[in-house]
Amino acid sequence: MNVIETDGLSKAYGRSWALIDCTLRIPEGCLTALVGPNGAGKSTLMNMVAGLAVPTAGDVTVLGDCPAGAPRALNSVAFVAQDAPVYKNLSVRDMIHLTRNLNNRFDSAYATGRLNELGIPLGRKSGKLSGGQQSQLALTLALARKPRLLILDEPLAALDPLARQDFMATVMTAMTDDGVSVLLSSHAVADLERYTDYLVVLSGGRLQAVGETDDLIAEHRLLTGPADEADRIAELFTVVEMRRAAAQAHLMVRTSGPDEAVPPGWETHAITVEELVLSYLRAQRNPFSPRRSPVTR
Amino acid sequence: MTPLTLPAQPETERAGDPRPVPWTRMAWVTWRQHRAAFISLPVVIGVLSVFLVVAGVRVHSHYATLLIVPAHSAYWQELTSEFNSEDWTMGFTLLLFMQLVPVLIGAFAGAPLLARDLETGTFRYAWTQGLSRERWAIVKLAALGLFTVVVAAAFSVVFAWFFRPFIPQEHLSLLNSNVFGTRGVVFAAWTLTAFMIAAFGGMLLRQVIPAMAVTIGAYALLQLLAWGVLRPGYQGAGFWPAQFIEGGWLLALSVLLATGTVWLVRHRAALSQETSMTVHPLPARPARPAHPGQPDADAPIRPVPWRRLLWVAWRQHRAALVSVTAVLGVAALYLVLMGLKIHRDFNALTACHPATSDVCNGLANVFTGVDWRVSNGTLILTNLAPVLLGAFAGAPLLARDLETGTFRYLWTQGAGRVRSTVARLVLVGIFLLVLTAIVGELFGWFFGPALANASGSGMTVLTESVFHSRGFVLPAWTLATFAIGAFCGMLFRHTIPAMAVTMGAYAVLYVLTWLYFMRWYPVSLVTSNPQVAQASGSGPANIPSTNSLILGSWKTGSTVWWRYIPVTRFWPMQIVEASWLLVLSVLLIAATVWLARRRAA
Repeated sequence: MNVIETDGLSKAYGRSWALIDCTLRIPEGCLTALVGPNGAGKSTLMNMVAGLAVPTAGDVTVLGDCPAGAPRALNSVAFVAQDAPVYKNLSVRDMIHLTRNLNNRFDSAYATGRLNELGIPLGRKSGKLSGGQQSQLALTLALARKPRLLILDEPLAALDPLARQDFMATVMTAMTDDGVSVLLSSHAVADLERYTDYLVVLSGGRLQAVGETDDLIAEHRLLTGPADEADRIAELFTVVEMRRAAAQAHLMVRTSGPDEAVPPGWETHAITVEELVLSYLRAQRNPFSPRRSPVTR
Repeated sequence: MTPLTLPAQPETERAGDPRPVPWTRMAWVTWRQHRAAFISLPVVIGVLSVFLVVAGVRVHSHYATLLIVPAHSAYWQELTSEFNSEDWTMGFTLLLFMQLVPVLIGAFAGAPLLARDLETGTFRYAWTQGLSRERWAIVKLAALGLFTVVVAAAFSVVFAWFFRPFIPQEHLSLLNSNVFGTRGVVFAAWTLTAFMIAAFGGMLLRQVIPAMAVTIGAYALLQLLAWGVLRPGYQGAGFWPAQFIEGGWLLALSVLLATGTVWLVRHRAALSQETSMTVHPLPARPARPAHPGQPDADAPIRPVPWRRLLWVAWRQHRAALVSVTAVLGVAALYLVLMGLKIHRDFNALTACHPATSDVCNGLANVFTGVDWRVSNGTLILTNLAPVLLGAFAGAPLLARDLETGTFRYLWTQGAGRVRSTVARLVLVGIFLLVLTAIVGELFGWFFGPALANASGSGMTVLTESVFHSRGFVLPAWTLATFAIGAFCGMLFRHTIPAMAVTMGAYAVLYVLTWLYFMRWYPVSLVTSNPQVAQASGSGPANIPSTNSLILGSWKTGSTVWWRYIPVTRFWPMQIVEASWLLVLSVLLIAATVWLARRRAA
């Protein structure tokens, strides 16, 4: 079962397009990282999956066949928006009661236990908590709903490195214990490297790369070789990005598999998730076409 | 309010004390930050002034004709009665409205001035720039305060011109408590005072909406103090001396409040205390679960019960509901205590024999003096209850969630946005209905003696202010204003503009109802006999009589037809008005829910 399916999903705000023709199939049980620079359309995509925004064109369904925002979707999808909105004038205890009363399924014992474990005082007003504590509160409230899909919009942006670890630890525990699928957006790729199962790279409102992280890593290779052969080599592969120096050229290429032969005189390197994502994002900024005539030096 | 922006401020680096940021630049910042207020205030006041000028030209021309026509001729009498009914109704309504203008300007301009920064956290930005926070506050207070004073002064000049014919014609004194406050320096001084109260309240409470509510309350108290205690002391000195004395003490109070505000700005403690986080060791990356849980994928979804959603609505609006109950509770207590006194006075007066004795005259003086003034003042306050309650309860209901972003939390819960929105609107709406129904009933009892003794002034249960202060109509207007407020909040997504528009919409609807809609109520009767219409049979033909409300007249051939509503039809008329208001409220609430349902994030 696919936990999120989109077909030609597009969203326009006024006359500008925030998301264009996005088609995705995200399998269940994954931690999916949605990465891209600021303004890439990450929040727009997440708002539509959460049922907060209505698509301008295309469809989005969650948990198999359930239209986003329908009662059944709301029941099983939890969303923590950017900056973790909570009612700042309510106490933590009241926020728990509030969420319990707004949902069919809510595990108060889990919420209280988790917050006690984190040392967040239940009597304190939410607005008086630190930024990290507010994020943890919002996450705990979302997880106590026992969702099947958890959507987190930039959850790490306001957190320090230790708080990031705490936060991700909570998410990981929920994934193992309850089988929650997670969609998480971030522009900090390095933080997510070791957690992600599935990667969605978004830039300029368009999908750049989608797939299981392991597959993407296996398919992509960084080739280094003499600059004057670069164009010939580029013909042989699907090139994501080409960088040329005076003597050497670096090509990020997509191959059919790890066994594909490396041209003689060229070196191949294993790549990291961060390198992969960054080359897709750079390529989107400076579009590269292998058919273009070589730049004269 | 526009978001806060500041131009780059390249400060010349020098040794020693930094040069303070020049005032001119800060004035620009103030202008940019409060541009919306600086523009919308003169626009609203300008529209009102245009209306006053248009209406004033008519009133002045009527009055000029009246002066030319030979006195006591039949035509003169007709003109006089026309002037005294139609023109004076409008003049008097606008005179009462003028009493509200200072506090409205003050509350809307002053309360958000500092409280918005505190509420949204932008004070962290504003107070850490290269100038002291006191200077910033002083510039803002001075610039916006001066601006409101200028606008208010200009408006009072326009109003004074509009109102001039009524003073001789209605035998009013310039020292009349309603007239005195709308002229000269006093009107602007009251505006400045209201503004400063609001700014001070905003700094003290750190929240816009409570600050606005407190401003209105404090202003009302101050007005009562001025009317009842202070003015009698210096009104003997004549119009202009009294004006300057009142303007003087108001100015002193404003300066005091401004100083207090700046003092609060200087001494406001730093941000909230924060506790440290407990760090947990990072667990190993878990293996992906082989069989992800499928709890109830195909089970039908049971909607979240209404009972629980009502609890949520109660918890979210507890502060507002409790404070409304407290205010109305105090009002009810006042109505009971004061009502008992007035009833006692009235009973003593009616039981007194012979009526011409000194004792009876003394009782009559108390009743027509103090008791009548108290009754009348309370009548005006009761008339304001629907718009104040409706705007303060309705406009922030959804707008606040949209403003602060908490709607992203609320609307993604299992209950869904439609049901939780409906629960909130219904809970607060019914709460207001019940409370205002109780207050309306109490007021009806409280005002009974005044009404029984008011036949001389032509006041009946159908007089607009009396009609709207009791029965079904008071709660119905409150609910309708609440629904307008909620709708505007959902439409504009900002609390302050929604409140302002709600008040405007209420005023327009109220005037339209009185001038036009009422003619179509199926309770009115038509007759060609003015005696029937008036039932009392005395006085010129179209002065509102003691026993019926005359809606209009027209001629067919030589017969004059009158459309009127007899006082015996008070309850049918109440039911008609309450019904259409109820229908309007339900429609608006439905529209609000519909907007919430289809609003994109």
